[in-house]
Amino acid sequence: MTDVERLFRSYHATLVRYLTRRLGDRDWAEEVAQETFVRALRQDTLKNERAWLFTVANNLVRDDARRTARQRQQLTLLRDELVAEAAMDEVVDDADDVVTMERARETALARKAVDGLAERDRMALLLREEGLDYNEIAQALDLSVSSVGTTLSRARRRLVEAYEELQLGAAGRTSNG
Amino acid sequence: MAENGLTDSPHVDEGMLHTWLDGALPTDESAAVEAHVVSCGVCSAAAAEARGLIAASSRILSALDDVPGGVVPQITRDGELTTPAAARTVASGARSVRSLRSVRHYAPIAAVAAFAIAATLILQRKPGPTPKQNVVAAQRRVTPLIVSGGEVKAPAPVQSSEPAHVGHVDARASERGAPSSSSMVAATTTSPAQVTSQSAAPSATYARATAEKAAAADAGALRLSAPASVMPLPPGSDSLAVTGRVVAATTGFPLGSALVAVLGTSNGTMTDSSGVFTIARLGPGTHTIVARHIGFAAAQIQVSVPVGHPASVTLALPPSNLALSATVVTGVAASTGRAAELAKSPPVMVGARIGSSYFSDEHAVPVRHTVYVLDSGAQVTLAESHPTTIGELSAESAGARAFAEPRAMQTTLRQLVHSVSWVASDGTTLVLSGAFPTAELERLKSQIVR
Repeated sequence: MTDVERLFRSYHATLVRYLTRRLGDRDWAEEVAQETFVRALRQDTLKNERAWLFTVANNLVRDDARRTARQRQQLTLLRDELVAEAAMDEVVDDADDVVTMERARETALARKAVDGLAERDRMALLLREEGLDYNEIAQALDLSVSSVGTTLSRARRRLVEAYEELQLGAAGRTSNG
Repeated sequence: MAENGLTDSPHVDEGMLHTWLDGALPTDESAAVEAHVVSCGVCSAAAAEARGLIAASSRILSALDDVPGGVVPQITRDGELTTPAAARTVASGARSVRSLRSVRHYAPIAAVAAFAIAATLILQRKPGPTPKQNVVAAQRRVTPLIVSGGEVKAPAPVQSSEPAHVGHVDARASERGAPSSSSMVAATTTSPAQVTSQSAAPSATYARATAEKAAAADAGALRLSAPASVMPLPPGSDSLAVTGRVVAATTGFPLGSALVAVLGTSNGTMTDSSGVFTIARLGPGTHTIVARHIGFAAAQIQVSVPVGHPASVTLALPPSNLALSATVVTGVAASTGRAAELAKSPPVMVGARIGSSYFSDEHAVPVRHTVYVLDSGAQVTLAESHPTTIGELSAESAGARAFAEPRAMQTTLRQLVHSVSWVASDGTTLVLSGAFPTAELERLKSQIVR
C-alpha cells in the first residue's frame, strides 16, 4: 500500500493547481484530483508516482471531458465572460485599483491564450510549470523524452505569441473605445 | 552575426535550446550546447529569446491562478497550502527558481518579495557547494562597544568582561550565518549586514541588553559566591519592603526602566515610568540597593530595614558617558568589473538599482543572475554565463577581468520580455532580459534600439 497520506500531502496542491490552470475550473479540478488519489489508493505500489498521478489525472480529465465537453465549454465560456465583465465593472467603480483591473485583464488574456494551445502542448507546459522533469512529462504524455524539448519550445512560443496578439487586440479595443 | 568562424556549424535547434535551458540535457551534451552557444552569435541570441519565452510563458501561466470561483492553492516550501495573498508571491518565487525570472510586472513590490524568496530558495536548494555567492559583500567596520566613565562599576569581574564576551559571540554567529545567507542584497532580513549590525550596533537596546546581562551575571556571580546571605524569609515578610525612586542626579528627573537590585541576592525589580520601585520580600537587616540605568553610573545605597517597617529611599544616578563609536555597515557591490560596466553600458540599465544577485548552475553552466529594479519598478535580469567554473565568475575575479567589447549584440524585443545579449571576446555571454509593463515598452524600446 502506498503511503497515500504522504502522496496527498506532497502532490495534492500541485495537482489541483495544474488541473485548475488546465481546466479553468477549480471545482472540477478538485473533483479530478480527488478521484486521482482514490485511484492511487487502489494501487499496491507506484513507480514514478508524480508522473503516475498526473497521467491518471489527465486520463480522468479526458474521460470526463468526452462526456461533458459541450456543456462544459459553453458554461466555461459564459462564465468567463461574466467574470471578466464583473471584474471590469468592479474596477471601473474603484478607479484606484488599476492593479486589479490589470490582473483581471491578464487572467482573461492568459486563459484565452492557453486555451488556444494544442492539448498536448498545453499539458506539457503546465506539467513543466509544476516542476516535472522531461522524463516525467514524457511518461505522463506518452511522448518520447527527446520530443519534450520540441514540444515545450513550440508551446512556449505559441503561448507567448498568442498572448501578445491578444494583448495588442485588447489594447486596440481599449484605445478605440 | 557569427563572426567567430563557427558559421559553418549547424545551429542549435530551438527544442534543444529549451531542453538545455530546462536542464534536461546530460552533462556532456549540455557542455557541447553551451560551448556552441557562447561562440555563436545566432545561437546566443536564440538562447536569449528562449530564456525570454520560458520566463514569459511562466508568467502567463501564473496569471491563470486568478481563477473565478476560487483561488488555486499554492505550495510553500514546506509543502503546505497557503492563503492566496502570500501564495502568489511564493508561487511566482518558486517558478523563478527554475525559469530564472518570473515577474508579475503589475505588482513590483510583490515581485521584489518574490525575488527575495526565489533567491532564498535557490540558496536552500544548493547548500554548501556554492561558496562564492557574495556578489555584494557587506563590508563592515566593527568597533567594539566602548564603555567609559565607569558606567558599570560593579565589583564582580564577570561584569567587566561581559560586554566584550557578548560582542564576540554575536560576531561569530554572524560570520557563521554569512555563507548560507550571503549575497542577497534584497533579502535584508537575513543578510550578514543585518546580523552584523545587531551584533555591533551601538543601539540603546543592545547596550541595555548588555547592561542587563552584565547585571544578571553580576547578581548571579554574587549569589553563587555568597549563598549564605540569602536569608530564609520569615512569614509575613512581604510587608518588609523598600520603596524608592531613581532619579537623575543632575536634573532630578525620574528614571524609568532602571534596574534596581538588592546586592547579594537575586531580588530585584525595575522602576516604572515615574522612577518608582518597590522591592518586596526583604528580610529585616541592612541591605545594599543598587540602581542602574543606561547612560548613568550605577548608584548604591545602604538601607536598614527595621522589623515591621518598610524603608524608603531615593537613588540619584550621576550621568555617565557611554562613548559608543559609530558602526558603519556598508553594502558594496563587489563586482566592479563586467557587471558594473554593463550596468552602465546598456541604456536600459540607467537608473537601475541592483535588486539581487545569485548564481545558478542548474544548466551545468555557471550563470550569474543579477536582478535590477528600474525606477519604474520593472525588473531586469542580467544573466552572465561563462564556460568556466563558478569560481571564476565570483565577485572577486569578475572585477579583475575587464569586459571586452561585445562581439555580437542581439536585441530581441518582445512585448513581454526584452532580451539583449552579448558575447565577449573571452567567450562570456551576457543576456539582459526582463519583463516590463506595457507602458514601459515604448520608452525602453527607444532606449534599447539605437
